[in-house]
Amino acid sequence: MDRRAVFFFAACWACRELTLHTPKNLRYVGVILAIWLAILGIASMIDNSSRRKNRPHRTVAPVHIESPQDS
Amino acid sequence: MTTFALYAVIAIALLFDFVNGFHDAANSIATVVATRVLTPLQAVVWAASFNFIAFAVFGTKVASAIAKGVVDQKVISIGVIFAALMGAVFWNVLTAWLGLPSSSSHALVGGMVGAGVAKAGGHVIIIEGLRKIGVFIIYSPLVGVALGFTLMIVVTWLVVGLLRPNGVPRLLSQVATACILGLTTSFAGFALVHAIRRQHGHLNMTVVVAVAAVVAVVFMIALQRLRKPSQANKSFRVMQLFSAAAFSLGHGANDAQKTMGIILALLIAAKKVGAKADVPTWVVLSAHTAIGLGTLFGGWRIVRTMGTKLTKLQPMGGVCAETAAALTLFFTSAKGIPVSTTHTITGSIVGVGTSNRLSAVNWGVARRVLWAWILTIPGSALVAAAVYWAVHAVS
Repeated sequence: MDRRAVFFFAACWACRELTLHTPKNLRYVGVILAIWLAILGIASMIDNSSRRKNRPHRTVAPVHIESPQDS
Repeated sequence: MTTFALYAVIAIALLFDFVNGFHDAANSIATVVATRVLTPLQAVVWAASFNFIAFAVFGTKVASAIAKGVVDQKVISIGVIFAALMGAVFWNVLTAWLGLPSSSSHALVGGMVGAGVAKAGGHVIIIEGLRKIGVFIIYSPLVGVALGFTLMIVVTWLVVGLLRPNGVPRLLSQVATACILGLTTSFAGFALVHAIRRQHGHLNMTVVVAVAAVVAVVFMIALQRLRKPSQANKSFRVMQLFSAAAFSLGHGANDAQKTMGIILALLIAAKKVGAKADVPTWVVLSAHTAIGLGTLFGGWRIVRTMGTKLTKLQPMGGVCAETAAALTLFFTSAKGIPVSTTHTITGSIVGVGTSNRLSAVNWGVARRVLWAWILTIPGSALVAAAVYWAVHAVS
């Protein structure tokens, strides 16, 4: 899994947990931040998978082994 | 409480503010120096001016939160405040020596808690106030990360669109950029005028939108000329001046107010002002002057070092990081939440770096910030308690 997405999801989880300990009048900050970080995590995952798909396949150049007849 | 002792501790509090400006100047102007938009001296004067101007823009909610929201006002005395300040200063020196990025703000809060508990026990702590400060120790860098990342992605998309040859993507990017810049500049201008006039109530949105439309048209005409990456880079160099100014404004607003809070607590304890009184104007002006002078006198040495270390920094990333941190500081200052400016800008830089790839971030710094989160409040509280007991034993 994309490490950047893991980072965002971990931050999202931390915010969610922290929301329970936030004073009521500021709880919306934690909720909005958790949703925002989750969206960034999902966007990061999509970005990572699209980059993988578009990455050109590595082709290994054929190695020519000289036979005794060639030389 | 003797008047001499009172004013001596006020002087120590202002010295603490001066050192804060001295130390944190690099945060706001390192990028401007690194990209050679301003010389170190010009950058320091620029930041110090906005540190000072902050008094006209923001209220004093953070000061009230420090003075009335950490420890029960009944236990606050000159000895408690002295011990709190000494605890914060000692902790800052110790962490600087150990290489940990300490937050002066959290050290001050920890100092007040430690000295208050040493005097009268754990029941004097105002749990609700401390909880608000505690959760925002973690929220503020995370808001910086999310804002920095999002801004960087949006700005990159817009710039890529603007640099394309003629076509729909270029036109759409031009319209979007002109609208964003028009709305931002006109809204900021009106808010500034409102704040300076100390007018309460909402801005007249019809007038704001009308002015924004005119400004957007001007930006649209200017954007027609943008063709080369070097031109875009030049624009971001100019924009850095504004983002650095915004960050300095936020820094002045949040950090100077912590000293105001300490002085207000002292004045209430000395019965020089009432328990529900607002911060006196002379306290507001002296705190902003102290932080501005600190930035002016000490900052340029640190900035010169930072500037040479950060030569790989791109203007676009600098603008996004500073804008994200400034927005976070504006929000927290408006809500009366004391946060660390260092942690906020660190979070924003991490966000901007992460937009490229995760390994672009120096995670060693982030780990050190995490340690600072955990250690600062308990550490400075312990030191302040020790200082209080020592002073109490001697006197």
